[in-house]
Amino acid sequence: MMRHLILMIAHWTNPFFLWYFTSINVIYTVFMIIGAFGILSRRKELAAEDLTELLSSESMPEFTFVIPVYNESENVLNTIFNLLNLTYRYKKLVIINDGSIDKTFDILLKSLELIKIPQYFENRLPTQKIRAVYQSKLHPEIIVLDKDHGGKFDAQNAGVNALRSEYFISVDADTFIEDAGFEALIRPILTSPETIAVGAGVRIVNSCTIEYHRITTARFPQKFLPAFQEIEYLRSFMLRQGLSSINGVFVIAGAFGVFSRHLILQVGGYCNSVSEDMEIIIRLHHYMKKFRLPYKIEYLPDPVAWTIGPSTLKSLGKQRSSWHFGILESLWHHKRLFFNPFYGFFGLFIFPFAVICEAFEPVVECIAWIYVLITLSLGLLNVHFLLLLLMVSFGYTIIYAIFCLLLEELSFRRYPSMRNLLALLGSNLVENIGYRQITVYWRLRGFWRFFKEIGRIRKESKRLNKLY
Amino acid sequence: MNKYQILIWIFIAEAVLSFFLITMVALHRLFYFFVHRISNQRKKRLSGYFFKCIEENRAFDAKSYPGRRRWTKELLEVLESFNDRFHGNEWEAIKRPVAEEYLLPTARKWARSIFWKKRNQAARSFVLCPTIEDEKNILRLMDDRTFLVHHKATIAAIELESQAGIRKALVAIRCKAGSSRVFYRDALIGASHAAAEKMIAAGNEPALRLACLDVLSGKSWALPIPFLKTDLRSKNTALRRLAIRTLVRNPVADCIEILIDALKDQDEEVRCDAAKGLQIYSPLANLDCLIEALHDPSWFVRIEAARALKLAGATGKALLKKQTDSQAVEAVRYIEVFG
Repeated sequence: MMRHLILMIAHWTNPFFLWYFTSINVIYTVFMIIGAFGILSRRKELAAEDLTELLSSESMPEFTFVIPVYNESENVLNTIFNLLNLTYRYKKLVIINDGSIDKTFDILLKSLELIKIPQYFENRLPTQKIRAVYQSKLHPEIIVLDKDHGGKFDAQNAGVNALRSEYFISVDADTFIEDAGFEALIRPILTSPETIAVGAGVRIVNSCTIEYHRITTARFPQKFLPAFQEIEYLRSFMLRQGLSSINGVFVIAGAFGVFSRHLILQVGGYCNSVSEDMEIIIRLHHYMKKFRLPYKIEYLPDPVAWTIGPSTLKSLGKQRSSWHFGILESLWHHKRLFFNPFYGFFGLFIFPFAVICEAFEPVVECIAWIYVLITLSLGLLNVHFLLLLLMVSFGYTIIYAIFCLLLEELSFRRYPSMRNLLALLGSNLVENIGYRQITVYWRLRGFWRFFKEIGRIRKESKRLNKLY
Repeated sequence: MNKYQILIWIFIAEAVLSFFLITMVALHRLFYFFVHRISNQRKKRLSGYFFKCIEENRAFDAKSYPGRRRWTKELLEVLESFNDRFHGNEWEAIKRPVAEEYLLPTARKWARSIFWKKRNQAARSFVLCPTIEDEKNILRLMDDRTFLVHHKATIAAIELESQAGIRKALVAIRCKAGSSRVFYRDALIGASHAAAEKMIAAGNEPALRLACLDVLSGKSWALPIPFLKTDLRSKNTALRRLAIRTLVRNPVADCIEILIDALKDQDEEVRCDAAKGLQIYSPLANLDCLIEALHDPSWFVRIEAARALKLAGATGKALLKKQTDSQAVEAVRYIEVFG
């Protein structure tokens, strides 16, 4: 009876799993090809671009770095000095101490010689109480806000209130930025006025050499976990490149992104979400489409920011499950976009792609493996199906990553040594066994958390829907 | 073909594709190495020749020139890097004939190319050696869709002191939203005296006034600006802001009175800029207006006023010490620390 039932289920499930993974692969391939064109044309631009001219300009707009910090006593100074060392002249830093309970604020106070100044700005976005505003005596371009703890989104909102420039750059406290990359990043804003947000490639800094708060030698991570993350970053960057070409980027890494202040204020600031970086991008799409305004959200292929990747399973697991929880939360907040023709291509294709291929992918993958294990234990496994599934999912992932590597080689060549390239290839082959399965588990934990917090998420959704 | 044969074929296809991609990576490494090396060698030869010409103070001579006609890209890059470092007649005597002989004929052809890279090289060549003959081409390239083309063409037009080009640049500053206009502004700020005169003449047109003032607020200009005083009294806030910034940069005889009046303007930015302007003249100005500005609703105006008083010398400093109002005291303290 059981055997009969399983065979009946298999009749439907085998083609479903194959169909699902093949469809994802086809979509990824399309984005990969579109992205490759984008990258190669960017490569041509780079050869003709004169960034020294940009730097010597007298008329450049001011950019403010908004850096929320919470218990970041180890990294905060490195990040601040890295940003101060950028050759771009018209920059300011707004650091928001989000009620840290370690020595973060004391370190800032002593190292930057902070002096209390009056609160010179209005709280246009509601935030937790601002305890005091400080300015650095050593580097007057640094403003520090000391506030009660309210989460990253709250700190970012406080930062948006405090800045005066038209554009701001949201940076994590463990992110390093490169000069050349940064200059390339601001160009889309200068050259195409309809650009409302810009993101760029983020890489893993773990094995790079940092001297005087700058990355002097870029190296592929030497340990397994950061190496696997680096490959994931490369792959996701390719996807975003493709999405950028059709103005469909739905996430800009929280570690680094440029935004228009005026628009962030208009859409009501960052919301109470774990993945506020993704939510704000979807909200910007939602808002601009709703009011039929021309806009562009760009994702530059240039590697700009380097971030510290978690190096233990525990911290990585925590990060991945909260990322996935954030994806689900953001998609839930904007569920009315799902297959909604009013929102054009974004509503009809990009948003459903995010839901079906990004959010539900771990569920389908997990069910597929459970199904394989059950049929194997009952001696009913269809070997042909298993091999096909492995080729469709694992085989494709390997090819995809090698293609990303080729594009990296053709464009930016951030890993010039042959050893780094071989390490990248090796990690690409190994990551499918063990690492891939554990990430599925972490992402499923994100689902668990989502269902646990659904009440709060619904409330936040209602609040967001009333904003515009 | 049975289903296992299909599987084997898929496996072979994936393996071949992976191998192909890896081979491409390796081949690109090799290709990059050689192309880079050849290009560097060419540039080295050209740079050596130009250095020798400069050292020996001799003009360009086609017979001793080591380059070939097809080295356009390398020649353009070398000339651009020299042009950044060398100015004056000696360098012009070398650059012009080289550009006319080896760059401009190709540039004239490429100005109409369908490939933006070629149009970009054409525009860059025109920047190096703009000629009246090429004005039409330059003006057409100014309308190009690609930023890297129209930006360079604008610089060429301004180098050429072309009236139509300067007007086009002002129109672009006026019409282009966002920050894209900063490149045009920069190009006009760096313009020659003759080009600036043409720009001011074009600024007499009311539609181009804002753009013209925007440029002048970043440029030092020794001669009187005809429309400045009218614009300082304009009802248009944007115009007043730019006019006051231009005045601070390019003072006129009665500018102290104008700046004192501007301290009472409705707009915060105008008041702030007026206070900044008074920092230059504060020893000569009546300090009462600055004391009044210490109580301004805007924190930024208060700070600039306090700074102006500090720069006024002993009298100003004494006045700062006398302040008792909390807002003024805050501004005074801020200036004591941050200067």
